[in-house]
Amino acid sequence: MKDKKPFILIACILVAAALMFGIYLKNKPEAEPTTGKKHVTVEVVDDTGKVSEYVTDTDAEYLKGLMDELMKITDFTYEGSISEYGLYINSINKLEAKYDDNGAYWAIYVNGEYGQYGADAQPVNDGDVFRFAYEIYQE
Amino acid sequence: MSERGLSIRRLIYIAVMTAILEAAKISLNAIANVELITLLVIIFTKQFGWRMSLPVVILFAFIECTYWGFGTWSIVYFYMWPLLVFLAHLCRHAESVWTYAALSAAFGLTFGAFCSVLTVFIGGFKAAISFWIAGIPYDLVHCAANFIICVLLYVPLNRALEIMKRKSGISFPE
Repeated sequence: MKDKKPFILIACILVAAALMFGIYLKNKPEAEPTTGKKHVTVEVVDDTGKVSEYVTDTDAEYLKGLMDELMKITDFTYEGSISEYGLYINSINKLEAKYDDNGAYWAIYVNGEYGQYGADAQPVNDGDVFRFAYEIYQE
Repeated sequence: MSERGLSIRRLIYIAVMTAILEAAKISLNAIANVELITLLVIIFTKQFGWRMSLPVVILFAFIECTYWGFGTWSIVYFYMWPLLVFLAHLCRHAESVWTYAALSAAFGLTFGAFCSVLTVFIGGFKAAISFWIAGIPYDLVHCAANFIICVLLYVPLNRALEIMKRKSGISFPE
């Protein structure tokens, strides 16, 4: 008799794939930006824990656009480099994160949750609170 | 032939298999989550045993790290590919191509989940779940691609290696 085990396993994999697809559709991150005017808040937490807050109205669809706008109208500054994964933030408000030296990096939080996108792919929606936090990776 | 001569030949086999993995990886780098490594590791383990395949995948992981730079993903490579060697070793007596296609597909489907295990230690459980969910479309592509590649290429590749192994005259312990 032909071994049916592989086909049972393949059927299980198909069911698992369908379940995973369902989980993704139900929980997928909001990737679409909102067009038009949005009221947003940007917070910067430096290496001493001091928080600088910027509240503004913006038409920017992605966080990088908002950061560029803030550079023009406030004392907010940033420097970044484009990698294959998108914009990598090197410094904010002149505070440089040197990952190679001490594991420091600029983390992005969106409405209190750890961001899932780089600044150039992170959509901006009305009421969003973005937080740039200077963090040090510790093993 | 002396045992030493055999050992040298085995080392050469390991080097060649590692080179094949690296060439296969580079050849499909442009297509995200479509790769030949899974199939090759399964066939290498079936034909040459886990003792030969384990150093091959570890060397492969080292070369990838040297090429792309060390990062958190490097750690993933050091446990994912040995895990595949282990699973392939468990399935080594199966004859049906569908068994290996199922193993390939399951490996592709769960790749993101296994990668996110590492994220638990870096960013916590919630970050790991987010990481896994965000990568599900890639896991689905990986699963489908692995399945199709295995169904198409398992039989000819396995046969070719079988012939090569027979002609080499070397026995490889399972």
